[in-house]
Amino acid sequence: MLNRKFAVPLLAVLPFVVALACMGIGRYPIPFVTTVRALLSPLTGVQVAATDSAVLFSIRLPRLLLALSVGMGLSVAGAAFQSVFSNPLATPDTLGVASGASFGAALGLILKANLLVVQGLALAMGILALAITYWISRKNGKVSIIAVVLSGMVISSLFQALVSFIKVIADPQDTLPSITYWLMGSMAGATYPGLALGLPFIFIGSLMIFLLRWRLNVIALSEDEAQALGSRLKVVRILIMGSATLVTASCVSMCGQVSWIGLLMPHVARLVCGSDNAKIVPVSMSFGAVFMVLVDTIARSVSASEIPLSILTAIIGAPLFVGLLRKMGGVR
Amino acid sequence: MKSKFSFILLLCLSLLAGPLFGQGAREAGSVAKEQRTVVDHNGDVVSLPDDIQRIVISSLLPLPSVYCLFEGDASKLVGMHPSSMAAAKNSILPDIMPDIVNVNSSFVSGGEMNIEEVVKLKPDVVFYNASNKTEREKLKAAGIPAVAFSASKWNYNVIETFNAWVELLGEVLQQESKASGITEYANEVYAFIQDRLASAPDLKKPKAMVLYTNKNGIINISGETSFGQFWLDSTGGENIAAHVPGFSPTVNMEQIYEWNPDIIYITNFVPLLPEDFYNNVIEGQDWSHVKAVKEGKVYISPLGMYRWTPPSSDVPVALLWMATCNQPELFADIDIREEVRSYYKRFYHMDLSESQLDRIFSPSREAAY
Repeated sequence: MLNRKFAVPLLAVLPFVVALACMGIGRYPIPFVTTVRALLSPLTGVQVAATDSAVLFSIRLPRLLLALSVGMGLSVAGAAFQSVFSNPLATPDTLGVASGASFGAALGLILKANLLVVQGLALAMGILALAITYWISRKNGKVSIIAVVLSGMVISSLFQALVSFIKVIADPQDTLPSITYWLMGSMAGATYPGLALGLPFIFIGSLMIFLLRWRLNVIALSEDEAQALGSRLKVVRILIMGSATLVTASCVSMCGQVSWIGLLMPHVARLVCGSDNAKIVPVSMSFGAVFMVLVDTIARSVSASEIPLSILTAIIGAPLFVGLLRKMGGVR
Repeated sequence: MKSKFSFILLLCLSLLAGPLFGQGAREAGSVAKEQRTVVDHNGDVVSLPDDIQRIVISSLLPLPSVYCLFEGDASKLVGMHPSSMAAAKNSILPDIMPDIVNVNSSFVSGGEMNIEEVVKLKPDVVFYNASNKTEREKLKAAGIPAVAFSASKWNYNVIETFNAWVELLGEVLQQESKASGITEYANEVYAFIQDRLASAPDLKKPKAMVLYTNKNGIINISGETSFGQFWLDSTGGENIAAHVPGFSPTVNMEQIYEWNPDIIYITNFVPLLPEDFYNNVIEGQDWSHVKAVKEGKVYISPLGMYRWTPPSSDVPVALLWMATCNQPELFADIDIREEVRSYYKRFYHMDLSESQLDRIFSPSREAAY
């Protein structure tokens, strides 16, 4: 493996380098030199054609920022849930958060609310889903992991049913296609006001998990073992679950359900750097951001028609994962 | 104990009664009505009663409008799709057939037909969209004669598609159209436009975009196989998405900048008006860089007897309208309002007022829902 000295700055810089490179890719052709000049224009004050600058700064930049944050956020949330529940199949939706957020968004779409309201509703419903899950699993002031996972499943299927119900009553001409497309995930609607509402939650949540990453190893121990080590663990566990929820709900509220990435990236990180959560968390964040940026760039620029994200994350993610799995010699 | 026994008895009786009475009803029906058959657009041979008094049109949104003008009134139409109703209410159709707005449209919800609600309407025949295989199976299972009408069988040629619908209506209803001659006139208009386009030296075709939906940053426009492609091909325009496969592919803003269309056509399926583009008020999108918007060439598709993008009985005037938008100099002698007025007089025996003409050419936002 790479020397630790190089690995840390590399992981931090890699997503931004990739995103910068992707700034130059898209359906609207802008020569490389023009792209560089336009990107530097806020500093140099060089005049750039209005359309070029609109494409770069109003279309590509918000979309790339969204992809970076969502990729990072969903991966770190996935890593957190997988270790909190000691379950390699845990995803950001394990607590019903993504389904709750989807329901909020579908509700907003059917009420023909504007985009910010849709996003706000999604965020609120995602957090509500966690609150209900937590409330159900609490008994005599104690919360067991099994109860949390089970009630998460229940809440998740309940909200999925509600989404289906909204799809049934939605106008098939007008509202239904946008709900369906939205559920498959798309970053085409990225705007600065939307980012301003959603990104802070992703950053706060991710930062929280990043700072608590050492604790994840302890939490991954069995409940009795962990309990023996101290009672503050309960607080840490709730903090981590809350942060991961905030991140997930905010991601879903901005770009719909992007499947796979939250499950996949922590495993890729594990294949690369072993089972130490202190390493898995930052590696997942970096890889997730890179992966999402690449996938969304493909979605928006390969053909004249947009490709829904979840189709691409699975089609690209599956062979990638299989390749890694075979090369690294199995899951550790 | 006793109540349990009587419940079981009741259950047995009802299970027996179903097939017994059902059988009786079917036999009586087959004796009373003479059987005749038509071949529909799916190639199915459909047995029909001689006397058709109650008709339900469960899918294929433009068909109720075409049917009403064929029949001359809406009295036999007992059910239609809610989106057909939305178009009908905002169209000119109720001006000559006021009772169309009272037709039942509650048997479809969420795009799904409820078969028992259809049975309740006691239709003699149901017309449905040929591509809707689920409805075909449901109607077959219910034993209701169902005739399929196709929208895609004629390569989105709106004239041929409209003509095929009228021909099949004629076979099913065994009568001449009350608005006969529309296909012939459409062919005349089509030939007139092609002649004039061919006669123009170095004809420049504008690049045009036909907008189908624009919601939450997701934009759909007419693709390679669509009505939009046919309209533009036949009226001197060029579809910007002529090489994008599909009926209404999803595209992004950047791609539209790259195409930079000269003209934007807003269909009546999207609740936007030209002002929304000129004032640049569409959330999250900046249209001010697009040529069509800069040059004031954003047109909303008119709504006459039906929306003018799919096939409808307004096809001939719709062709003329789009030709005047695509090639204003070449068709400078066409007064489109006058053409529509005389067309409505000739085929629908209707004198359009100025305000009715205004309604046709500037449909409201609500017409899209």
